[in-house]
Amino acid sequence: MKSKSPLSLLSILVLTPFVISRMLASSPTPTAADEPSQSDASATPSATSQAVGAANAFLATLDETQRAKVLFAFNDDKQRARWSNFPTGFVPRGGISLHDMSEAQRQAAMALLTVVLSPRGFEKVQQIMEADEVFKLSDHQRPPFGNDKDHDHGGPPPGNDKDHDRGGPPPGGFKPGGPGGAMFGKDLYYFSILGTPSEKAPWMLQYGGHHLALNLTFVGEHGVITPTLTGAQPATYTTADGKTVRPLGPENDKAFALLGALDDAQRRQAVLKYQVGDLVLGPGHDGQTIQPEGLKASALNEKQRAMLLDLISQWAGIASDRYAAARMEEIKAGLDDTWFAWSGPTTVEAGQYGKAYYRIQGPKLVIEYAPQHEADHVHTMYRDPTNDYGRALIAPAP
Amino acid sequence: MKARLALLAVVFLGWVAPAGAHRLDEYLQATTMAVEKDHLGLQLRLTPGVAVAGQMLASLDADGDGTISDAEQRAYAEHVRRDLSLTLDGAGSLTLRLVSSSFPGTEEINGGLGDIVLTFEADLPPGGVATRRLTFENHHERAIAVYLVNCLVPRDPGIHVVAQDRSYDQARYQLDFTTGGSAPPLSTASVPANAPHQPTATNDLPVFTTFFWHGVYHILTGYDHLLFISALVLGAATLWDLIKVVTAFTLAHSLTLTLAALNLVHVSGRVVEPLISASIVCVALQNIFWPERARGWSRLAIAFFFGLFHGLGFAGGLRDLMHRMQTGTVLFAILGFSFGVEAGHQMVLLPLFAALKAARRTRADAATRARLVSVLRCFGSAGISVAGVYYFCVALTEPS
Repeated sequence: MKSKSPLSLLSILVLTPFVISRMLASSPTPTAADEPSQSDASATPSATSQAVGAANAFLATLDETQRAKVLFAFNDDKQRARWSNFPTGFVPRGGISLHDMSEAQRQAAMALLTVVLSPRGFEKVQQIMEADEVFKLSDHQRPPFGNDKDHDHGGPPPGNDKDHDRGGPPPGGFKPGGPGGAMFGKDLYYFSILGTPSEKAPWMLQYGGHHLALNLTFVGEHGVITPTLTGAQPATYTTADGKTVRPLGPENDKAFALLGALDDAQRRQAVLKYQVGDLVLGPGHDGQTIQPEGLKASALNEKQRAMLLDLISQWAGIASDRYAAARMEEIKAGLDDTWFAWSGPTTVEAGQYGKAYYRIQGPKLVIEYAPQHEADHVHTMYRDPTNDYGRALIAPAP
Repeated sequence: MKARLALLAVVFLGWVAPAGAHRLDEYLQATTMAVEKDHLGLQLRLTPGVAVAGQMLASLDADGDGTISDAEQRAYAEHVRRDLSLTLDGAGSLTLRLVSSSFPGTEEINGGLGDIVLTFEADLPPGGVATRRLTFENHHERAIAVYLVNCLVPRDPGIHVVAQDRSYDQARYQLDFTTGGSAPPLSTASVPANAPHQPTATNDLPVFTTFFWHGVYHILTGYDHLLFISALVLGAATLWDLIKVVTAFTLAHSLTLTLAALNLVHVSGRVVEPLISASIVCVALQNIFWPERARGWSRLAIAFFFGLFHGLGFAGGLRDLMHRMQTGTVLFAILGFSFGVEAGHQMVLLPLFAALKAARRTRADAATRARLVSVLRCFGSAGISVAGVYYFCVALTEPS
């Protein structure tokens, strides 16, 4: 018996460092975050005229074929609805991606975004793209579709496979990056324009890819940013210089702050007694309005109402400030008939994302926040059922 | 020769990096209901998650030819239709008719990105001014389903939603509405806070069964737990030893599983995770270097002590499934899950122990038998301890 021990000990001693080094070799290397380019729409020319200028500047950098790919007719409803949460490998977007642009074109494209989005909105968009880049380079992505047929049926779900409280072992045995890299990454985000950029006639800018769908409709001096979808996976990542980034951090943290600020009676109304597993009005649900539930904002005090508006502005404030201000006024006007509903655990550790779904629904507003099943994976949806795609502004109701 | 084979076995075990322990299969089924005066529209959007896509595809593509033919689509839509039930005012069920369907390609389904959309319609018999109650139940693929049910704001301004009620997992949905006469104010559209919440029948047996299978699945994909159990089995010389050790382990983990699931105890994953991995290494090393102690009281104490942490680990997976459950249902869920976990343990434990016994019987005399036993124990435990160290390092380096 004793004679076996040295051999066993030897095998342990030999194999352990080997296994550890293999494990360390495949740990994710976060990429450097892009420097956010400077913003800021200066106030004097109208917001739309600036948008038109930037859009035309971008189109001018493209050649004939590219321009033909990017431009769509304003009444092209198929392209209008061609946005999604899913990676572009499976739900192809129209337009052209950053991947297929030259450096100059990419710069003009990003300049267009900084004009139509607020600084905070632009930063959020960049962070979401960066998160997709981290996801692409990490060990946690699922195997490339169609390449790994000999894997277990389906393979593990996307992203971190951690048990939420336990941080269980990540899926191993996958090639980092590799051919699967074509499915994710910060350059697989697409621009498309419907109609012709104009200060008077309506036109639309779409920008999106995995976990992002910005649908911006310009009608004269109005800019409508609904429906817009934001998501992130990983929803927390670290940049090369050690900064922790959470693209949807405020959406999570401010919601918990609001919930915590409610008194017991309010909270009992807000918290739904059933589980909501995912977005109800995600892609494919244009034009639908569901029955509101939860706590009505008319029952909130001033401070709580301010917190609710601050939370709503995380979505409404993605658009540039001029457009966002008008939007927030509209939302404030309907605040008394706005409902806040929560489903799931009501507490969270600092710096983490909660596991709860929540919804804010008003006469001109639907916001949904839906954590996905894996940790660090969130989908959100922002709509205005009365004016998605600026429809009410283009063809006002008779 | 035997040593070399055994070493190979160790290398193989050390190489094993399981794919995704602790994932849970989900089949998202989202229903939206549109109420009109004389009929009801129901749209179901079904999205099998990537981990269940394979099994769902097998039931969709019955002939396995890689495409979902029209006949297969109709068959599946019919299968879903039969798993739904719709009753009005408690009397007689309404018949659902398939109006349209759309199916994605098999590649999309395999990727967890396939949305199957089925639209049904049902006639509503004419009603008076009284509030009508519609009850909708979805039993399709209950074990892996995540249900969503929502009622759209009725297009007809004469129809008013009075109240909605759902079971915890939304498998059962109840809608109270009026189709004529004066409308009750919209503020009662959600169940008022002061009214006692009438829980819809919690259907405890299905809850127990659902969580039983969750428990089984949790164990069978929980490679760290399986390694620990295997190490316990390797250290047990007789069936009685095994029973004692497993009982100690079971008592401990059931205790902490229940306490943690009821939120009476909370220990951070950063503590639990490395301890579980350390438990694997400890027990495996004890098997190799102190095999005599592996049969004694110290082994029972170790099994109990580490069992406490394994239980906390199980609770993590269980809590995800259980948030906002009513207390009565929670207890059934915990019970079901615990039984499932035990059943899962036995599924691994018994065959392993039987295999070891059988291997022992292949040797004629006691001496070679004893040698075989110790070789199996040593190399098996060596492999397990390597895997344990791997998990330990992962647990320490994972940002939690």
